[in-house]
Amino acid sequence: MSRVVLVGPNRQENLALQYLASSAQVAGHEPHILTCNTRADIAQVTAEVTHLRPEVVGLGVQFQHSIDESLLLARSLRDAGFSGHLTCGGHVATFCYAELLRDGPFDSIVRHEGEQTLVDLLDALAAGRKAKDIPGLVWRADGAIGMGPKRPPIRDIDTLPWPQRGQEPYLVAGVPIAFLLSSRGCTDTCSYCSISAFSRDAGGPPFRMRNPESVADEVAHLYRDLQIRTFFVQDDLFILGSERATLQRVEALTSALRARNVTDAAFWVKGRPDSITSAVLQALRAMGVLHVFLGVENAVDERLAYLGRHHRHEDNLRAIQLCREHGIVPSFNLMLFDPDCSLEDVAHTLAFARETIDLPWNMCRTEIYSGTPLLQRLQSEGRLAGDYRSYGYRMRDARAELMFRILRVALHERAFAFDSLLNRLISLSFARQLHERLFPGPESRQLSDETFALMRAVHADTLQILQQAFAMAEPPDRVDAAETQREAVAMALAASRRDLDWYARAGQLWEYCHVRGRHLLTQSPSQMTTTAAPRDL
Amino acid sequence: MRWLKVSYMLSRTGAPILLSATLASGCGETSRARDAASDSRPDSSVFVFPPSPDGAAAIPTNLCNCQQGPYDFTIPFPAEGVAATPAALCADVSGGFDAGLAIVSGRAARVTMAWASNPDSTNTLGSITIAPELAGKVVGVPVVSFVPTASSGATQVAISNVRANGLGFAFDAAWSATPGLQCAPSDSWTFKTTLQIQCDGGGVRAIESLTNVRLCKEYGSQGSWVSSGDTCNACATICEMAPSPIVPAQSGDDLPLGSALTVAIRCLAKVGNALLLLAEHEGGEYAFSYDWSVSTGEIETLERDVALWRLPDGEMDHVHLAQVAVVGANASAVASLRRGPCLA
Repeated sequence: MSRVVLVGPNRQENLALQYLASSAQVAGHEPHILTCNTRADIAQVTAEVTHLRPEVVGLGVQFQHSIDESLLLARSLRDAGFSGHLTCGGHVATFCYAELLRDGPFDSIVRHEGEQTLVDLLDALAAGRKAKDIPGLVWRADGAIGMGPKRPPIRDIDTLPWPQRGQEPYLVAGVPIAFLLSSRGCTDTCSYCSISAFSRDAGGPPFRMRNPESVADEVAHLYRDLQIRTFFVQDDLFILGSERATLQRVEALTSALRARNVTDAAFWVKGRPDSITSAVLQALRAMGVLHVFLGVENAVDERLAYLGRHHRHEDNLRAIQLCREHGIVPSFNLMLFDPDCSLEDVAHTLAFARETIDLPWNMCRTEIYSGTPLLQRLQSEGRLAGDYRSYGYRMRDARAELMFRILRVALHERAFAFDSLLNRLISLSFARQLHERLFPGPESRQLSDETFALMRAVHADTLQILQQAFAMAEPPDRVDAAETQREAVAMALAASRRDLDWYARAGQLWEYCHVRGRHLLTQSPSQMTTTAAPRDL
Repeated sequence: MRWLKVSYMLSRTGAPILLSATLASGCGETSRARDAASDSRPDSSVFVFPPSPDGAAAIPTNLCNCQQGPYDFTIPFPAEGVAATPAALCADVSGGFDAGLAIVSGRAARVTMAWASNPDSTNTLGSITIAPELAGKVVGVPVVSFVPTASSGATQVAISNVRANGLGFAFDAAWSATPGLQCAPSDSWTFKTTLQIQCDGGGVRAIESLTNVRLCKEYGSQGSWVSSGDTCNACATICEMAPSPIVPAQSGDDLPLGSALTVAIRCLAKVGNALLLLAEHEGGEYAFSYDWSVSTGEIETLERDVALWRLPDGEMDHVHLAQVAVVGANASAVASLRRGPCLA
């Protein structure tokens, strides 16, 4: 038996680590999961690892932007005297294993899906064998790198034990929630997407689904034993490309849930605009889906094609309209910038954002992830900047590049930061939907009205900032660097001052949802439509 | 390593008044701020803590010593305190504190809380976990006290019946009001554990640890208690959350703002109504200017990246904003620190 500590971010449930932990436990090992969200957590994690004295520590490197934290944590563990086996895995580690072994004090890297590889590694170490010659594993070998054969994706993901969740459920809006997976991988080949790259690099089937009966078993267990009423389905592809296949799957899942007396659960799922049809939405609604995170991405067909999307903007418009008609709220990110976009492209997508001012959205630049076709394209064009810890590029259209740089200063806190106001509003939008669903009545409607009013105000202001940045970038002869910097800083300071009251209001509404949800869920179902007067509303 | 030296005196009522906050780095003092408003009504507490929830902290002691002072204390920041090992603790002579005072060791003892009976009550059960390295070294029973802070609002907590249990120590806590029913600021409570450890070379050392305790998922019945370092399961944000851009590219070019810069404001310390702020960025060794501003109160720059924000009396519980604009030759960034109810 080996004691293993798995470390990774945990802003929502970290299903990746939970699946690894459950597999390790079933195999007779002793897993522990620790949270490391930011650099500020490194000292605490190091202390806890020192206290736990594990034989193995595994770091989950999920995202390109968290590589530095992983390297710092690895060094911190070694500095604190951890002499056991140090490994890491995840999307980034799968592609950047050589760099991580070069720059970090790791003994090995787990590539692709890690459940069985981790178990094999733990078994080997527990038996006193060396950590090498294991499929899916990369290891140090006398100054070189040893590499086992690729481990193909797990074909039957129903064979995996359920993720090892904490004893206390997560809460959103005062309602216990759980995150779950009903499939792994994706059938698409979006040029920027590391998920697709990860699946395809492993060989074997890139997309695998769980049996609806198995999914329903897990949902029913969480529903019954932990009183979970809301499920965030983290599938990258829950709504399938074929309407017929989607209907078949959703209806099977709905039937399986009903057979287990799960009739009032709410779901958040992800889908692509070209997969949204009226029949699909009806089926999703019957299942309890409230919210679809919709892969809109951009409002220009040429940009969508560049990003490897198979849908057109008319699909975006149609899907959003259908969602509205069926009472399902879509939220989305707009990939406003990409390496080859023009300022005119940006203008089109901004116009679309203006048309959807009442919907929860945010925006971003297309980022470059390891293993993706877009990375390879920029590399071949000689345009890839930075390194595996932080890739970058300069847009071909200098005006678009300049607009982005201005926004990088002016909208960082409002839109681009992890805990941005726009992200909070997406969360709040879901919270109020949840209350409308679980606690119907005038208070919930008032909550929704307040949320809509707040979102409209923030979006309108955001669009003004975007327009201002657009205007600053439009004159091609704009080269006064100092003046541009001053204006960008002034825009950021002014936006932050305006955000103060909006942050406070969003926080009040979020807390109100939390208190109200907790309060009403402790009452009998018949009392759920009444509550005390909404505080601060 | 930089150090913060805080000087304060006690008013006739025993309330502390900030006199100065001095930053020193390397071989000496580099800047100084004086409190001109010493006649203003001070906050009822003096406390210093790092904002992170790890609980490691330094705190002035002997506030009940009723001489007026002035008193000085010094904290390194970030303030980890002395390592929680017998060797380190017994070897420490002063650690920047006057001899005879307790040694601050943030990880020596950790307080956790649980509801005594049903949630929503005003009674809780506390537990004290001693660092494993100090097991068997503790002499007698620790003293636990509640440390009033701005985050604790008007709440008072009476500690009683500190006793040994199988794993460490336990105590009863009686709260003046049910904790966590209201939205912030009453959302975080600080407890100080003072314990004596036996040193191998003879003699005992007094050690102090602070633990921040709060209710997670929260503000209502059945909230669960978390302590410094615990994970809180209450989700603050639910959406697709990848930040953008992910690249702090550090190369300039012919366009403005060629380098990306990310700045964050950390609250290093609080003394009464004064907050010591640090602007941290990842911009490397470039030359940057810092411009601090606040929505209320006064901001005084101690060093270009460190500023002291004094809030007017009674304003700690209201919504306020501190901002810093960091500007370099080819990079700029703005960071904000929001304070007030629901802005945690």
